[in-house]
Amino acid sequence: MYSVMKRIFSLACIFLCLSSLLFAEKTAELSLRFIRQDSLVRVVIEGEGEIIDNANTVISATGVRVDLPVPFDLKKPADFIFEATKKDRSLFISTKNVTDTRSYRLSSPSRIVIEMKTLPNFQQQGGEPKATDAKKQQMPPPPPVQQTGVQGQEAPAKPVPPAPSAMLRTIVIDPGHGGYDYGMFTQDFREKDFSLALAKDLSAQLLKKGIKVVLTRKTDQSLPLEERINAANTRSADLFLSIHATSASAFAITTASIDDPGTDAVVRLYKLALRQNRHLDKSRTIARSVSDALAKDFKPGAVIRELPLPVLSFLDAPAILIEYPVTAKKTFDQKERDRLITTIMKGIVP
Amino acid sequence: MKNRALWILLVIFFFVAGAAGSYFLMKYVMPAANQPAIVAPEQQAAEAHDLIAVRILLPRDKKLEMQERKLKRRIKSIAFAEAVIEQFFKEAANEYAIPQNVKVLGIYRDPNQVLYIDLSDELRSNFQGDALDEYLLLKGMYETLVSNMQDFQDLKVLVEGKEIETLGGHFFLKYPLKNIVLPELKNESASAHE
Repeated sequence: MYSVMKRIFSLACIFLCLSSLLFAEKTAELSLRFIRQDSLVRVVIEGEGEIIDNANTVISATGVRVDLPVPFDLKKPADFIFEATKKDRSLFISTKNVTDTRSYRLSSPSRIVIEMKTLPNFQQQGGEPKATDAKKQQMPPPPPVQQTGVQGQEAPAKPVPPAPSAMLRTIVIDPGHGGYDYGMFTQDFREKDFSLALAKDLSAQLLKKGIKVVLTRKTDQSLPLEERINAANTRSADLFLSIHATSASAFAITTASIDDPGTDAVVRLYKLALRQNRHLDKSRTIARSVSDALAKDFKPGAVIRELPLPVLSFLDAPAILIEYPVTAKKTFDQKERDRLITTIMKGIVP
Repeated sequence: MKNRALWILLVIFFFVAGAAGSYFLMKYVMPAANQPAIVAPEQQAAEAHDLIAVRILLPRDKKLEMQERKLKRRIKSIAFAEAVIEQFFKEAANEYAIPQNVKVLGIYRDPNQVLYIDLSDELRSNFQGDALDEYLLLKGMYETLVSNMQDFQDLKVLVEGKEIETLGGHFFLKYPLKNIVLPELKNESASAHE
């Protein structure tokens, strides 16, 4: 009798363990970020592919509801400009002051993108319009200050000396790759990290000269090419500088190559994909200047070439792509990196 | 007792017969099956006649280099395109920055004569090139197909059946390739060290 009871008890224990496994639900990790470009706010909800693929987005007059298949934890920036409420397996984003909303799903990484067009009086840094806004709008805009920012999140302003040249007031620096995209890599080198470090050092040097700098990314994150392009085009940059690595032995400076013989000259000047046309001469001048500076300080110099790179061709500003050589024999230590920054500075701000 | 001895004898007999049968099978029957079929000279000539020369444009030393290879003729152009692009990746895999073991998962053509090539994820996950390497890889694929077949208007690359934004972080892959790869490389000039 005792052994029968023991067996039943053991079976019950096994059953309970199995059923707890069966009914246990994993909690998904979701991250929310947003980008603001004039009146357009783009909210990106990123998570595991399976979770995002099975999520359901419902747009109503009052907000956007995202229903997820599992319970979730949401990480969102503290300065998120809309009210986001989490309830059970749903996330509700209030769309007050929003005139138009649309959403779509993208992969690699899996994400839901919600685009919202806000009212013109919707305050710049987020939230509801406040009483003081009306007064602020009547005041003249503040003078340009040094800033660094990532996707619309600009750093706090600091007083700086005036810009040395009226030609270069804002430079957008784009460290190539990031996140799951490593770029070129060896055992002790990753293009995404080195390009970011280089961009930050260069940014610090430019800030000292009183030039406003915007970094397309400040951390190790994946950033679509389109967002890199928008970062420059929405800020009326005076120069766009993309930093990458090359497997060649010399530096490579690339400008846009715009070859569209089938298009009318006037159309070509204003075609969205060929915005660089208007700035091509200036881009080439800057490329030549940087190339000459590199040739003086580094062996075996630099090669200038033209490629139809979208981060250059779609840019409505002078734009160049600098590639530093990375071979088995050539890597940059801190000293070399500082020398490289000084040389690039000579090319950009002679 | 007598029965038992008979059973033992029978088992031994079947074992020996099986072993002997296997031995003869391996020695005389199997080698004949493994031997290459003797091909008559006329058949050889016919097979050679069935080969077609294809041009493969390979990224090599930061430029495209044309090579000629012979492939078996295919009646369907889609099958031919698949063979050509497989050959392209087979040859290109020896080059720096070009991923190895890239498989062609499928080739389709839409009503607008855009050819879709679906490649395995090795293409993206193992690509390690710079902007020029990426450009030459895309251009090489496009030019290789254009050089060998005419019945398509544009080429689009998919990875594991999906449209991806970029291959190596420099060029869009979500648009067809023609407009991206048509411009010729130009103004290649060097600033020498002083």
